[in-house]
Amino acid sequence: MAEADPCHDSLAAKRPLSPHVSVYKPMLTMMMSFAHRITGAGLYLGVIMFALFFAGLALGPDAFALVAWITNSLIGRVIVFLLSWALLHHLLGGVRHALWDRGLYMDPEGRELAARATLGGGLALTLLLWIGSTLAG
Amino acid sequence: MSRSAFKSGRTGRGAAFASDHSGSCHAHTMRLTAYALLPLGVLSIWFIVGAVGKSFDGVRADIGRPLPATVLIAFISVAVYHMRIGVESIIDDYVHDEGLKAISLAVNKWLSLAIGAVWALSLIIVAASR
Amino acid sequence: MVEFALPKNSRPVAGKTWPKPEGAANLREYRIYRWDPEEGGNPRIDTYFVDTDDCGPMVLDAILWIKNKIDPTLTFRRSCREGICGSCAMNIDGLNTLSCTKGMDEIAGVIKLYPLPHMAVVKDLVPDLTDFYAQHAAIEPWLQTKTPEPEQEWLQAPQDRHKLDGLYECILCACCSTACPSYWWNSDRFLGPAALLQAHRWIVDSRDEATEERMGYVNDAFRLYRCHTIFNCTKACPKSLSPAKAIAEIKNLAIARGADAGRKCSRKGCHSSAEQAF
Repeated sequence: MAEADPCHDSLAAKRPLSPHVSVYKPMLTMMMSFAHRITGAGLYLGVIMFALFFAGLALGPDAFALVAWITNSLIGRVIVFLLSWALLHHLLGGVRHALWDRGLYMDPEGRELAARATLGGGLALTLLLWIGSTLAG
Repeated sequence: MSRSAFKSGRTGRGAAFASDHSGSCHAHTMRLTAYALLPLGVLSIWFIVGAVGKSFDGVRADIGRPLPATVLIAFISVAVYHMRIGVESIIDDYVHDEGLKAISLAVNKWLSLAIGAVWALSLIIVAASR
Repeated sequence: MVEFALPKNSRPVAGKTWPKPEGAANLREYRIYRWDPEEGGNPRIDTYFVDTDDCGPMVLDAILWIKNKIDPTLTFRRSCREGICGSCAMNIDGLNTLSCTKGMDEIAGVIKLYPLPHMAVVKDLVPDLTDFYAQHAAIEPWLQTKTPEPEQEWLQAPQDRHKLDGLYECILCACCSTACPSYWWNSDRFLGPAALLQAHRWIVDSRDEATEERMGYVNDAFRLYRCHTIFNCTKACPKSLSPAKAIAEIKNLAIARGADAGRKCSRKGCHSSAEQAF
């Protein structure tokens, strides 16, 4: 035996790392945190897209023609729909974080309720937004 | 026990990681921008979704009005800070190589400022020429 | 970049299936992570069959039964067997908890045992907790005072003592910190839920007079703010404590302090000197 102390440095290099994402049970709160980050990152890209859209709008009809696919083609509309869902989901997630800052909804039942409300609310508000926008013309 | 890899900042070895007091400033800014983005975000997405399917003149007429233009400009002014700090947090979490991290943070800073400038200037032009 | 996948040398391979005990009416199948430092190589997953009529109801009872009757080389930490020492913390059926308080009847199907996640494995189910203990030591978990010592005790009103409830009960089992994805990616700089809970325990203690220093130490983009309120910690705690709540309270205190002092962060390249002035 080279080294008696099992936690000694010299043995450290050979030690494996215990499994993490591959074994840890996925749970709603963990997935919601992940979704909050993904929607945030997606919105960053969405904001770039809309900035280009407004630039096209400002530069004139020819420039606008290049960017109008965002709002006029099917794929563009789907992207705008998904981005609006991302925004509303991220927004409700932000409300959830604000409630946690005040110590609310941190108990086991409260957490699950807040998570479901964010998920359901985001979807519901997105549908409301698009229905309302279509009706308003 | 083996020597800890944790950089406590308490001893000479970790002194480079003495508290940078940066956390609460960013956290506070995140909270304030989030509160502002609550109404601004909802209104902005309403105006943006309203532009779907409309012609060049239609969109210009809609978004160029004082209320939508102001709201959208206010939105991006606040959103630029919010998204910059948000992505900084992601970079801090996942990018540990010092060189790559410095580049990423710089790109993030200037990209978010550029986005804000393009967005705001474009809307000012559209509103002014209505 | 952070490695989301396990390094090649850490990926478990299929291991040995140990013989079933004869004449056993009620068997439970256990799949347990094994790694021997003397053998080296990749870790493996061994399969055991436990006669549940011959051992107690907890997961710890089962692995002690395996160690006594089937395979004496199975290695794990344990001591009190009643959920107070924190030694037997491990990942059971995907969640971090104490094996001595986890009943086998709470788990359906095959029972999978892994060491606490994203830790260097000393042997089998034994992780290297050196960093974890270093993080606890870093927050200086002892009473620090400036006023002269009293003749007898440092006095504390009942309502101040009540503030420590939900904080002092921590048994430092490491279930929470090793459940936290932020701790997985940043354990060299993030303090982790356990150390932060203890930091809060000392910040909130009315007898302690080093609150400013404690707040100053913890108020850092990495030490405190790698916490993104993922909530795995609170879900994992076998003593039903809430590190997430304690951390939220530290953040509020830190923000209030920073805002009061009008201090902008000193992080390089973050604010231009113009912004600092503004």
